[in-house]
Amino acid sequence: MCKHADHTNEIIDHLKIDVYPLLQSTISNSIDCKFLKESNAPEKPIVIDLLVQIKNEFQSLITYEKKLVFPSVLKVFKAKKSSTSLPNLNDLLQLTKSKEHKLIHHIAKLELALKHKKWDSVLQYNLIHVFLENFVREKLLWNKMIQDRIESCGCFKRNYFDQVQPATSKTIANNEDNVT
Amino acid sequence: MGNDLKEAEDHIVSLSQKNVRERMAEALLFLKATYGFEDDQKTINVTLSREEIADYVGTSTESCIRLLSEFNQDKIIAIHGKKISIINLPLLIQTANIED
Repeated sequence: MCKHADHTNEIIDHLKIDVYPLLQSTISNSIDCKFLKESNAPEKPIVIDLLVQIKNEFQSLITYEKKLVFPSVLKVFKAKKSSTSLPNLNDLLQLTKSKEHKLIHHIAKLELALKHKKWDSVLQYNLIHVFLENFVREKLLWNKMIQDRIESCGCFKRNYFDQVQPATSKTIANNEDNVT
Repeated sequence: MGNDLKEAEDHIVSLSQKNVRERMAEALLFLKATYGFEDDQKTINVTLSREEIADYVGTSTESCIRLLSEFNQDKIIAIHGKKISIINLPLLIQTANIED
């Protein structure tokens, strides 16, 4: 493996060990918040519903990244040129980004719902802060790193373009629509 | 009041069912992107138990079996034992509610 692969591995470990557990505990704290639980505010059900959706979506994202996306990225680094069945990183990253967009959408709705809150919502605001300052920032760096590897890392670039068909799911779908 | 509660309950059940269908479709797309297709260009090139698929979806094994059966009836996928073929990819993507 090249030096870029080692660095990629370090970033993956950082996400798994530092970034994701912090956000997981912040989400749990904001759901378990006693001020929210004791509140009778009309916004309470909406906020709880959003927090549960954020928790589920984030847990789902972690599952896919740990089990499929991260191993796939490393597999593309390690692959020999003759390898035939490599993951379609382009599709995987697009699916991941779609989930990240859903999370960002939920967080934006949460921020809106908290505007008229009637309880001490420091824990929910902390979740928004950690999400934007930690998770979003780290994922931007991750996506930038992948883009850099595609553009400049010899082994990654070769396997990404030569072995992985860069057709997105939507492109495939559109092509199939045209055929039928 | 009773009717309102019933409507709210139905709405919640409907939302959660939609959500779990979305998540199943999403799981199948992740598996397709990771393992690709076999030579027939339809069958996902991996063998997973229903428990393993349920784990990806974040649902119970029973719910996973029911959902796969629904997708099969809707002609989105075809099931051959532990193998799954995607026979209507556009509909699967639509069901997954993938954003740009």
